[in-house]
Amino acid sequence: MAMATSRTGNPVPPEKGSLPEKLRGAYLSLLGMQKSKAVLNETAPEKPRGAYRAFLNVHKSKAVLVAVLLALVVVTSIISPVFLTPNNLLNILIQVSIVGILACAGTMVMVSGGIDLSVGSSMSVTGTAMAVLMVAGVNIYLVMLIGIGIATFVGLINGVLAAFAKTHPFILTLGMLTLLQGAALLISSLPVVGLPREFTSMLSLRPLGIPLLVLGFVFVAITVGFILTWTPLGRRLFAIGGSETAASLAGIRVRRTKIGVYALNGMFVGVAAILLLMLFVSSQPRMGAGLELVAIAAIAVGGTPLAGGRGDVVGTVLGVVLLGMIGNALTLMRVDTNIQYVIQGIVIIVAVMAQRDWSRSR
Amino acid sequence: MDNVLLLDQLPIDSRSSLASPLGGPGDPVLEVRNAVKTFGQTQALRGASLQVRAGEVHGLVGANGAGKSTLVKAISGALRLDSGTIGLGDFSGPSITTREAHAQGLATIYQDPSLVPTLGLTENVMLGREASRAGIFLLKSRERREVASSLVTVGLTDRPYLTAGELTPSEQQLLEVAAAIHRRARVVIMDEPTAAMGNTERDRIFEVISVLRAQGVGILYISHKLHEVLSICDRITVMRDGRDVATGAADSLDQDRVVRLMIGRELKKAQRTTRALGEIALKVSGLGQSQRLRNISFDLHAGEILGITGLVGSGRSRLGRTLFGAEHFDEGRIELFGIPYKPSDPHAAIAAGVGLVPQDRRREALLMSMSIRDNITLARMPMLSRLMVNVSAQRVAARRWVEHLKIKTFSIVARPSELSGGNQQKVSIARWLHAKARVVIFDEPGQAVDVGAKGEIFAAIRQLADEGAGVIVISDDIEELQQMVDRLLVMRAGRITGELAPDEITEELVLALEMKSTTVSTQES
Repeated sequence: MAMATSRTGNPVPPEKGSLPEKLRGAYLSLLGMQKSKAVLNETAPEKPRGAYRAFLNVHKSKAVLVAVLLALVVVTSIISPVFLTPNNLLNILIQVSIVGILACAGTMVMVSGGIDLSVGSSMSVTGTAMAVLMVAGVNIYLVMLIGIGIATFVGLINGVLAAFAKTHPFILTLGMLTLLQGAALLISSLPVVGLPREFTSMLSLRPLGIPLLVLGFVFVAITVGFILTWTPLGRRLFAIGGSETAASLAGIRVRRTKIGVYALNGMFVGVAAILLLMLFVSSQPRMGAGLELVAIAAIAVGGTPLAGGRGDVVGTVLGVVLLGMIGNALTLMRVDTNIQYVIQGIVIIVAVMAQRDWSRSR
Repeated sequence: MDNVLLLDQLPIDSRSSLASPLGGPGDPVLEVRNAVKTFGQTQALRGASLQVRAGEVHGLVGANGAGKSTLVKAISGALRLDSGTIGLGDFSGPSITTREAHAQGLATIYQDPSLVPTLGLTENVMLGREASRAGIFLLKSRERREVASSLVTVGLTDRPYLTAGELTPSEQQLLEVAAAIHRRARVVIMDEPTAAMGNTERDRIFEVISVLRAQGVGILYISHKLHEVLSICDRITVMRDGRDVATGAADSLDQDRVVRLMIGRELKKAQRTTRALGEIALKVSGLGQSQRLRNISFDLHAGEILGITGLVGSGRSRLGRTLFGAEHFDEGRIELFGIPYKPSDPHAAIAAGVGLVPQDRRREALLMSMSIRDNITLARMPMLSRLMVNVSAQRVAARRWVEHLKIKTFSIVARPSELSGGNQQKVSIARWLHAKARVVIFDEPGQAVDVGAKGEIFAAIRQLADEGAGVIVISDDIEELQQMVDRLLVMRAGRITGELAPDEITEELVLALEMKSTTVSTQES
């Protein structure tokens, strides 16, 4: 395949001789000098070996993630017997679920080559606004809808900026992050307390026996997974991330798709904000700050490159769980919190570097 | 395809009515009239007209800057005309949108394939037209089934996990053709499809073109390779200075006439006069590099242009890179003006006075983001002190070379990307002249530039030699070598298999030398 040229590291220059081409081609094949292209079906039939190797290559990075996870589980369960109990594992899932929602939704944005740094602040604004409304006595279900509306609107603005401004969304949404943090403080610079019990007690609901937080995470993960693999929208996100020019030449409405994906991301951020508010019982103007970075770290660990075009939700979920487990394991091992940060940072760096190498060897 | 077979069996008179969705054979499927387009000061199109008929391969040729790409962009909807009309399918008007052009059955295959490198083959073909249930659920296996036949037509097979980015450039071109076939395009524009292709792939794309033609597709074929255009096209339109200067049946034209039409005058062939050779600039004896280069010996004199040719994989480019220190040799010795020369890296080679103009000008030779001034003085920067560049001296030097080599540019701070191919090549020549290089190696200097620019480039190379440098030109264009070199070395499988004087250079002889030994030995790549 393409490797025939790149194995030596230098591209084979094109042939340009002006002799009768057929004659020259015949000579070449006689001497066995013809480049065999595995993909050209006349020269070589499809080889299952290649497909097998490709499969391995694609899933190698995930295999590495799973291996690291398993190693972590084994080591920690030896040191701490509590670790492998169902309760603790569920605890981990509960702890990561909000970041997990942000990470899964963010995967769509990253696949399309974008990024949204404002999701943490967006949760702060949404949470604070919802708290104020609830305390003022507005129906809680209506408030939740409004919350999702606010977060979706924020996403929509990000999308419009990303689609029309000729600047990388990293900077645009960084500005949005600051703006929204200010907005949250403007709505209420103090914690808003006294949320209706009807709302806060929802957190203890266990539909299907699954805690509400975990259910939210699972729901978003499955939805995003479905969108990315099974819908035309998903395919277009990959296309835009892979090559915006090619996508638009193929008739994809790049701007519209971008606005859509940021808005969709915003919608899930709204869901996360509702859960976060339940968890906090009262609103804090900085309740979501910093979570966007944890989410992006998890996405990167999960194998979605910052440049987009590749990636999936399975990787992101593995990344989220890995980061959550490390925190949990270190706490169980009674490692000092400050040292925990250092170790988590190292894990992120190493994991992302490992990802890069795999994808380069492909 | 089925359509066409059916049509052939029908009596002639019923064809036209039935054929209407495809456009009857010979009916124009694309028509441009009096296209005018102005960019600021320059008039890119001054009333160009063009007509492509169904079932025809129509060649479009012209020197760089003749307006070919502007015309193509206007047809495909990438830019708007100032005036004129574009007729495509049912559409007729001064400017068409990309979407409309798509809808009217136009497929444009650009020189740089516009594929999504991270998506699979099928996904790329289906891009923007995904098969889905209710617009939500992708029907992946149906997509694969549908696309498979189009892929087979161009000779590709989809495999799981294979992405378009892993294909060779020519396979990527073929993939784009497959997408056009799948879309049942009625007009296909191909911009230099064979520029990066080997013989097999080229034959393949010609086959595909003839299949498309048989299906009644109109093909607009743009290329600098005149012999290709002449052999595969039915009709040819020649453009010059934003106008179509001639349209005619390919049978009635020959290469010389087309060139005359393109440049509006006789082609200036580089004059080769016999001259007394200078001292030996480069003496290579017994050079070897593991299995790739073996026992290579030759002398290069100052003022001489030495050609090196060979098939792809014969080691000709490797030899060039070895002389430039980009690769190492483990046997033999090289002397540069009598002094032993064994460069450890290109930096050492440049310091010793050896320069290389690589094949891929855009990626390897010139820094497209830097000014012409900086590009020229890159290898030998005038310094004020150890740490400070003498910018005014840089400017003076750059101006001198621009004037000396007649580089056509509006300013020395222009970017090389704003220049024509020939002028870009001159900038890289200026760099080595400025660096006082005594030996300069050119890898495929005439590649991907038009006939007019080629003449300029050859003249510039000649000038370099006349100023006392030893010049090595690596090329596989026999015509180019005949015109330019004083001596030609032919390589095969890492060895020199023959040496020819200019008047001995014929395609037959060169090919014979390229194939000399019948034993198949380890190949380079």
